[in-house]
Amino acid sequence: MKTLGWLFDLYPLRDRMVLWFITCSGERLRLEDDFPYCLYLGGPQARLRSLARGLGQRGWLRRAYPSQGQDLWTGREIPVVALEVKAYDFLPRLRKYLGALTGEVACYNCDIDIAAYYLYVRRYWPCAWYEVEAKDGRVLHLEAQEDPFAVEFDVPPLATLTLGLTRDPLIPLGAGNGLAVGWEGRSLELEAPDRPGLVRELAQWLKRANPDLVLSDWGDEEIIPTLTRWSREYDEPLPLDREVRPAPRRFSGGRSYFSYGRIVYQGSSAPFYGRWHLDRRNSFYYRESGLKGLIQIARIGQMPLQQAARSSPGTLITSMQLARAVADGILIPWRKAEPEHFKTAGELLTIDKGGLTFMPPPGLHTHVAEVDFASMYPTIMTIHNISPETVNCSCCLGATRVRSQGLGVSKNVTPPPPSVPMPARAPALHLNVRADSVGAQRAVLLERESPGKDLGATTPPTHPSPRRGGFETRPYNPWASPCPPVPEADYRLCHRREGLVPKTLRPILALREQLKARAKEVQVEDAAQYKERQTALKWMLVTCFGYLGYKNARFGRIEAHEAVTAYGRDKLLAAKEIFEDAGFTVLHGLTDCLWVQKPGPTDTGGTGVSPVLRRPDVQESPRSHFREKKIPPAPLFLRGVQSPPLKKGDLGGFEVFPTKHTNTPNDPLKANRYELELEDLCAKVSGATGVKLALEGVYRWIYFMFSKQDPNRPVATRYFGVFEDGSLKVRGLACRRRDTPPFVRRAQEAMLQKLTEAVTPEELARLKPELEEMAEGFRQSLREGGLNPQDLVITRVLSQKVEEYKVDTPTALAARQLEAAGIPIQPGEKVRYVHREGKKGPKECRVQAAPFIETLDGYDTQLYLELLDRAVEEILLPFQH
Amino acid sequence: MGRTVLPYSHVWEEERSRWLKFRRALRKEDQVHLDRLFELARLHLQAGVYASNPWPLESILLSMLLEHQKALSSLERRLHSLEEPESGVRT
Repeated sequence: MKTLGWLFDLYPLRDRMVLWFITCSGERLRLEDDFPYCLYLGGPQARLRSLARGLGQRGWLRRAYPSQGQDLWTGREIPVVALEVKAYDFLPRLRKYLGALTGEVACYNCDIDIAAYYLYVRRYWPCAWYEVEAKDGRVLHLEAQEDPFAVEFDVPPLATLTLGLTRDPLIPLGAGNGLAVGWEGRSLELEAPDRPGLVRELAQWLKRANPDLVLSDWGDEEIIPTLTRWSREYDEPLPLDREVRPAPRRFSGGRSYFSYGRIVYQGSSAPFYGRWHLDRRNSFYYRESGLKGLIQIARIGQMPLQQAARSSPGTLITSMQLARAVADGILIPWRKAEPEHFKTAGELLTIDKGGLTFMPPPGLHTHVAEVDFASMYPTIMTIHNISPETVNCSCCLGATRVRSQGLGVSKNVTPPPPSVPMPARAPALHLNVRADSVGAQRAVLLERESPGKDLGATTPPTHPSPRRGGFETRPYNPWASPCPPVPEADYRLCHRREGLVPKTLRPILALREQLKARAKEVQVEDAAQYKERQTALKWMLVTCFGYLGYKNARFGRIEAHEAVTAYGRDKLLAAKEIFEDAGFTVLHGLTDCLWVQKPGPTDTGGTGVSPVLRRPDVQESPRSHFREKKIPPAPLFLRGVQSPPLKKGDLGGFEVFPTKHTNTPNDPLKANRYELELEDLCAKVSGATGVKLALEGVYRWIYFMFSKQDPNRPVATRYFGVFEDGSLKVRGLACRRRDTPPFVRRAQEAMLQKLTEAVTPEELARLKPELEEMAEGFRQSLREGGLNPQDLVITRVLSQKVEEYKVDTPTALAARQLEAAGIPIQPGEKVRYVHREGKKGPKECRVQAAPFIETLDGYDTQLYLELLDRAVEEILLPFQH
Repeated sequence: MGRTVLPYSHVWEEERSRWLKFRRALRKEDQVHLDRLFELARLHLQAGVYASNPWPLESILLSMLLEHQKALSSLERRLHSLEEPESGVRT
């Protein structure tokens, strides 16, 4: 039988894989495929033979045979013994046995997820179309009909049933909470007299609708575990799966763990067999990028969709790396035994750091441009071939080191002049990178240097060429010279093999660029799906860098992580230098973006400027206002007197920094010219660094905030501004914080929206009375009461167990209320509450925890007024100087 | 990152607290200026990070000096313009 089918769901069952297809005629097709899980052992041959014999006698293996594979770290082929496991149930026992082995035996491909391993080995991608050849319910052959990295893909219509709770998820099912079902655009609450009745009711719905996708809210944590338990207790069948005899369902009950200094809670999961169950509340990817984004990442991550939905971006990027490794015949080490190499204190000091952070001059600035490097870190890994196995690799150890050819390192070194032609037969790695994604994925090593060859012969001639400011704008070509060492760190990077990480990232980067471009081409309503998918990829790219430096990551290595940040700093400074050479001043810089400003034409050498001003060392920098503060300000400002009616050119108490004679953004022609100049410079930086620098936009005005601790101190990450097109950019304000109650957040957002009306600082100054009026309005509605309690809810994360709280913080009080009501709450879970009375009131009345606020009779007006005032103050900051 | 080597802003903080005894013995009107000096050094944290000098006080002192040089230049210019307004230098 041959048919066209879309690989929908797959899961391991005993000793084979079960695959579900949706055929082009709409049929749901279940097929089985025989797939023995195969792992490998390396070490002394005699030892391996006896080991394989012993395992065979235990009855765990289907067969064992000698094989070979590539070692990740050296790239050499090594002999191994392959073990095929009889049934998947034996895997845990086998792993336990192998884990107890000491020394000499190395285990490979031991702990890969079975379904994902099947996809890697067979090179199948879920959620893609295949020509399916099958016989007697068994897969004979699958022929892929599309490229997993294609920009366009079709999804067959999926029958979708929604499932949710009728009230707050903290209220247990059957004890005040009900079940809501949605089908074909209608939704209704299931009515049942008792627990078995509710199970029966849902079972009927599942039978009648036979959905492909059950989209739930709180399904993983609450609905499915509870209903499964009841189904067992009352012996009421609940056909959650299409599979007749699925593996038994177990619920772990979630866990709390520590990550980046914060405690995080991960709920249990309840996937279905033969249909999909997605919990919108338990899927990072669904939240961020919708179903299309989810399908996209399941495809390229080669992971069954239900698993992909519940995993973090890190798990997905690791899955792609594993797939790459399996496809390339690389053996995947089980327990990573690559310790960090020893470094001297000096080396550690130089390289153990992250991106560069400038301190912006606080205050209002006009005509500032923001430029961002696109996907800086992933691009760096790709163009410089940074991967755990390529940093200080053993295969290039004998190669001649050409020191300090890194870009922009201000050492007195001599880079090859740009005119030096490449040797006809270049020795270094060549990448055949085509623009299309398939080609990009197949970037191959065209030529390898034979190991004995003397690389020194190809050392570029060293002509002294003076460097200005430590930077030279030559076209970027990381492969132009053998082993350009990493700036600052001076690590070597492999030039014989392309690393696993760059190989994995290259197609993602290419696809993301294509999706971004497509989103711009098509109609607004069609653009959404491309944006969703693009966002999904973004998260994978963002995470892949962190995983390089994460000790538990499979392909992590701290040196690779350091190399990436070192290149990042180097490139940011290179961009800074190019902009400064073009007469811009750099106001602010953050890892991969810069805020630059061009002082007016008279400042850069127009008429009537003294030579003194042109001398760069004394040219006024934007930071000079720190000093200017000491110069007595005008008496009007000193006494904080209200400004008189504004005259033309009067800034009405605004602190405005240097752009004295800028071409104003009001002039479209000049503004356009300004943007063109910026675009030109961006292109120049992109060419010089190898990473695309894009103009994020020009701000009409931007306000960099002061530190909360010290009003004279600048801070890097708190600012707000309005772009030329009227869009806002806000960072570090109350409305961006999770613990800001919705009422205060909305008040601040409304005021920010008001600010977008102003084009010039003068117009901005004129908005002050209106803003104050708005603030008073919000205060008034707080005082009057009658607000929806949900608008006053403060959300915080429980950072420890409830009983460990020693001080009666509002969070602790709220958590205790929940516990008292029989609702257990784990560290890392969110607690939501409303402040009821001030600190003087009795403990139990101070706050009211979230599910019990529907009948709230009052709130702590004073506290909410304070919160509101704090938010208002942030907005009014530009008016206060 | 940030575990073995202290972030530079913490180094700055440490350096400042190292001089707290020095500060305590200063007259109150002088303490203000010492505080200001340290604040000025904060403006160039990124340079200190990038240079990663094993003796952070050197970077801190240099940053303070830098701000002084800027102040000096600006005052010179102002003075110059006041003494010779016809020279056309803006203040």
